[in-house]
Amino acid sequence: MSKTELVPGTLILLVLRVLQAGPLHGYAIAQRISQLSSDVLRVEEGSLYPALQKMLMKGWVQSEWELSDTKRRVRSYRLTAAGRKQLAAELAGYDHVNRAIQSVLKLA
Amino acid sequence: MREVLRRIAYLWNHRRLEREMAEEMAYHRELLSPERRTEFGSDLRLREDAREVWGWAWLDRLRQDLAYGARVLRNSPGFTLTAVLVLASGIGVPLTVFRAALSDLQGGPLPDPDTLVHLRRRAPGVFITTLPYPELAFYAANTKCFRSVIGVTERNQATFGETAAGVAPEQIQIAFATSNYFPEFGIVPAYGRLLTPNDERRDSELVALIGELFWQQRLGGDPAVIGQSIRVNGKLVRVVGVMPRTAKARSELWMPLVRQPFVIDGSTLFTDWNSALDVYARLRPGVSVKASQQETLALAASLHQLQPDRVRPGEYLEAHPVLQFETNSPEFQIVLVTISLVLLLLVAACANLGTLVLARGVTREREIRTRMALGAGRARVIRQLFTESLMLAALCGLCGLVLSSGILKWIQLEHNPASTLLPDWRTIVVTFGVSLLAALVFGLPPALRLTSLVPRAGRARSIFLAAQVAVSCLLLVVSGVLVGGLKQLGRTEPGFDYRHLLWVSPGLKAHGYGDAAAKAYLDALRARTAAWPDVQAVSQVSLGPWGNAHMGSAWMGRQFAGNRVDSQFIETMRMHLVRGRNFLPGEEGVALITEAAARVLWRDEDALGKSLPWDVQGNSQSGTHGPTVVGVVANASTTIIGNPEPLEYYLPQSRSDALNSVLLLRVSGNPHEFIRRLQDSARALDGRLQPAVPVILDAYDGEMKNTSRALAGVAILGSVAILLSAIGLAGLAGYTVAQRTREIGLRIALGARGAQVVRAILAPMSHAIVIGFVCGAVGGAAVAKILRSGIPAMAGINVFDPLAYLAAMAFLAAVVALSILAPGRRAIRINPSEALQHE
Repeated sequence: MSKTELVPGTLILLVLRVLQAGPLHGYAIAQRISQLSSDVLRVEEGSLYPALQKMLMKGWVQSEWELSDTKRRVRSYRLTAAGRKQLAAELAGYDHVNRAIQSVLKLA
Repeated sequence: MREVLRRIAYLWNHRRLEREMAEEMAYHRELLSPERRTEFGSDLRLREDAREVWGWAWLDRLRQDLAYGARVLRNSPGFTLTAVLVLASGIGVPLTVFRAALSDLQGGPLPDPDTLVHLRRRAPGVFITTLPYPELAFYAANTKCFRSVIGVTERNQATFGETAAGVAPEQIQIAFATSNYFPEFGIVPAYGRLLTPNDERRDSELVALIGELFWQQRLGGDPAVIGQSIRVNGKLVRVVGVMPRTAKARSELWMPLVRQPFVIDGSTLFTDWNSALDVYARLRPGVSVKASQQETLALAASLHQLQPDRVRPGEYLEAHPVLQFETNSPEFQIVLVTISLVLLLLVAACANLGTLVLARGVTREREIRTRMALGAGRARVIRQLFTESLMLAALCGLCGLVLSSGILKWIQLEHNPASTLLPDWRTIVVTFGVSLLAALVFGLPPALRLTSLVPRAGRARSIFLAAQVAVSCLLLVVSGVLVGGLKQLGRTEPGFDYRHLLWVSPGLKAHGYGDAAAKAYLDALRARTAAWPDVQAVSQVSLGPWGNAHMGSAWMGRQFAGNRVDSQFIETMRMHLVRGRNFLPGEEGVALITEAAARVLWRDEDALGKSLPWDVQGNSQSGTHGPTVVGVVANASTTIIGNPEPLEYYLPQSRSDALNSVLLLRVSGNPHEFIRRLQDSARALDGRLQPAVPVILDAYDGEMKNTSRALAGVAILGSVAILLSAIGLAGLAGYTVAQRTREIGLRIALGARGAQVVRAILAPMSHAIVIGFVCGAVGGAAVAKILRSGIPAMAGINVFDPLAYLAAMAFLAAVVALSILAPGRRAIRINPSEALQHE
C-alpha cells in the first residue's frame, strides 16, 4: 500500500499523541507515526518542522538538547501541561468530527 | 501574552535558533535512508517555512522591500530628483505658510480656550465692543459666572526716553492690562517676569514689560535692560520683563491697568464712562455662555438703576469664546480660501508625482510582469511598489521640512536673528502624516494599475493630469485677478487728495479734559497752526481718514461709515460737492452723503431734503427720522482705502465732540516735516499731552504694501504650481515618447510628419488638459469672488476680468507647449531604422 499524505490539520494531533508516551526528537517523531500507522501515514519533513516550531511557540511542547547514542547533539521535544490540555481538546474535536462523518457514511 | 513574549525572544535570539534548526535538520537527513535523503528538500526552504511560524516574516520582507526600494531610487537619480523637487515643494511651501501663521499666533498656547470669552455690550439696537472702566470694575466685583474679568487697552500714546530740549520725544504705544491677562492668555515671558497682582497695589513700584520687538529693535535685545528704569512720559518706570511677540500684542510697553493714571497725567480712567477697554472673562467651570449672559442681564439692570444715562435698559454682556471663528465672517472665509489655495499646491504636487510614477511604471511593466510570472502575488508586488512610494514620500517630507525651515529662517532674519526655528514634534508629525497621505495618493493608484491583470484599466492618469492642470490654472487665474485688482487700487483715486494731509490727535480725553476745555484747547491749537503759512486748511473731525477707527450704521444689510466733521472738512480734504451745499457753522440735524450712499438709499430719487434712516447715534429703527441730507459729495473712500463704492455720510460736529476729535491739516510740501512742529505746538499748549501725528500717505503706502504682499504670496504659489505642472507634463511626455519609440519610428518610416507625431503623443493627454483648464478657470472665479467679498480693498475688482483669464490660459498653454517641446523634438528626430530595433 502506498504511503498516504496526512489529512490536513491532523499532524499536530498526531505529534502531540506520539509525544504523550515520552520525549522524542524530530526524526523519531516521523518514524513513530509511520510505524504506528503501519507505514500508511508519512510525515513530510517540510510540514513537521514548521509544525514543531508552531507548537513550541504555542507552548505545547518544550525542547531540550541531549546527546544521542552516537554522541551527537539531538533536540528532543517533550509535551507540556498546556500540550496535554491541547491534546485532549484536539482528540475530542477529532472524535466529534469522526463520529459525524461515520454517521453520514452509514446512513446515506 | 506568553506567546508574544516568546515571539519577541525568538526575534532576539533568531541567529542561534536558526543555527539550532539547521543542526537538527542535518541530523534528521543523516538518519534517512539514502534514497529518501533527496526528498528532504532544500534546507533553506524548510528553515524559511519554519521561521514563518515565528511571525517575523513581515519584518524580513519589509527589510527586503526597503533595500529594493532604495536601490530603485538610487538607480534612477533623474526620477528621484524630480520627485523630490516636486513633492518637497508641495509639502514645504504649505508647511512654511502654516508654520509662519502659527508662529505669529504663538506666545504660548491658549489654556482652555473654550472658557475664555470676549465680552461685548448688547442691548436692543446697540452693539458696543468695549466696556468703560467703571463697568469692568462693577462686573469684576459682582459676577459669579466669571472666575476672572480681564481688561486691556492697547495703543495708548506715550513718549519714551529723556525729553531733551529741541528733540521731539520718541512716540511709543503703551498697553495697560489687568494682571490676570497674562496667565489667562497663557503668556510666558520672553525674559524676566510678567505683571502680577502685587504690581497693581497703589503703593508698589511702577513697573512695566517691554514688547519683544521693541526690546530687540530699539533696545538691542539686551537682557541687562531688565531691572533698569526707563522714562515713560517723563516718569521713571522699572522694566521687569519682556512680553513675547504675538500677532495681537504689538504695544511697546505693558503696564498694570490700575496704574494708568500715574503714567497719563490727568487721566480720569476710573470714573470715565466713555473709556473703552477690551474686556475678556474666564467662565467658571461648568458655567455656560448662556448662563453668564443671564447673569449679566440681571447685573446690568441693577447698574441701570444707578446709572440710567450710561447703561441702557435690557443691556447685557454678550460672551463670545475667543477662539470661536464666526464661520460666516469674511475674515474666516479669507482664512479658509488661503488654506485651500495653499493645500491645492499639495494636491498639484501629488497629482504630478502620480503622473510621473505612473508613466515611469509603464517602463517597469516588464520587470513587474516577470516578478509576477515567477510567483510573486499581486499583493506582494503592490506592497513592494508602495514601500517604494513611502520611502520617496518620507524623503520628500524630510526635504520639505528642511525647505520650510530654511524659508522661515530667511524670512525671520530681518526682524529676529535669534529666533530658533527647529520644527517641534507636532510639525514633524504633521509633515510625515502628510507625506504618508501623499504616498497613498500618488503611489497606490499606479501600483494598483501596474499590477492589474486587465491592461490599461483605470483613469488614474487622466485624473492626475486634469487635477494638476486645474490647480495651476486656478492659481494663475487668481493671481491674474489680484494683479488686476492691485492695479485698479493703484489707479483708483480715493476721492480726496491724500498726499498732503496729516492730523494731530492730542488725546485730550485720556488726560481728563472736559467738553469745554477740550473745545478751548482745539480752538487754540487750530488758531496757532492755521496761522502757519504752509498750512492751507484745518478741519476738526472725529475720525482721521484711514485711521483704523470706525463708526457708522447698518441699514438693510449694508454698512454705512460715518464721521463728524466741521464745515472746513470738504475744503481740507479737497472733496467735491456735487449737489446741494456744505454745512453752515454751528448747524445741526443735517448730513452730507456720498453719491454711492445716495444711490443705495434712494436709487434715482433726489437725495437732497431726505432724512437718513438712522439717528445721529447710528441707531436705525423703523420710523427713525435722522438728519436731513443737505449735500451730496463725489465718492470719497475716507474710512478704508480703495473702496470704489464708499457708502459714507458726514454729520456736523456737536459741542461734545471736541473731546474725541482730532485736527486735520492740509499742508504744502512734505507732510512728514510737520510732525515735530505739530507735536511741539500741541505740547506747548499743555505739556502733559503726548500727541500722535499720523500722516495719511503712510496709511496708503502701508495698505499698498499689504496688498502687494498678499499678491506676492499668491504669485509665489502660482509660479510653484506652474513649475510643478511643467515638470510633470515634460516628464509625462518624455515617458510617452520613450515608451512608444517603436511605434513612432514606424509612423515616421511610414511617412508621418512632425506635426502628426506630436499630435499622436498629445492625443491621450488632451482631454485631461482641457478638463483641467475648465475646472481651474471656474474654481479661480469662485475663489476670486470670495476674496472680493472678504478684502475691502478688493471690493472693486472684476471677478470676470477677461484679461486675467486670457492671460492665465495663454501662459499655461505656453508652459504646456514648452514642457513637451523637448520630448516632442526627440520624437520627431527618432531614426526609424534604429527605433524598430529598439527594445
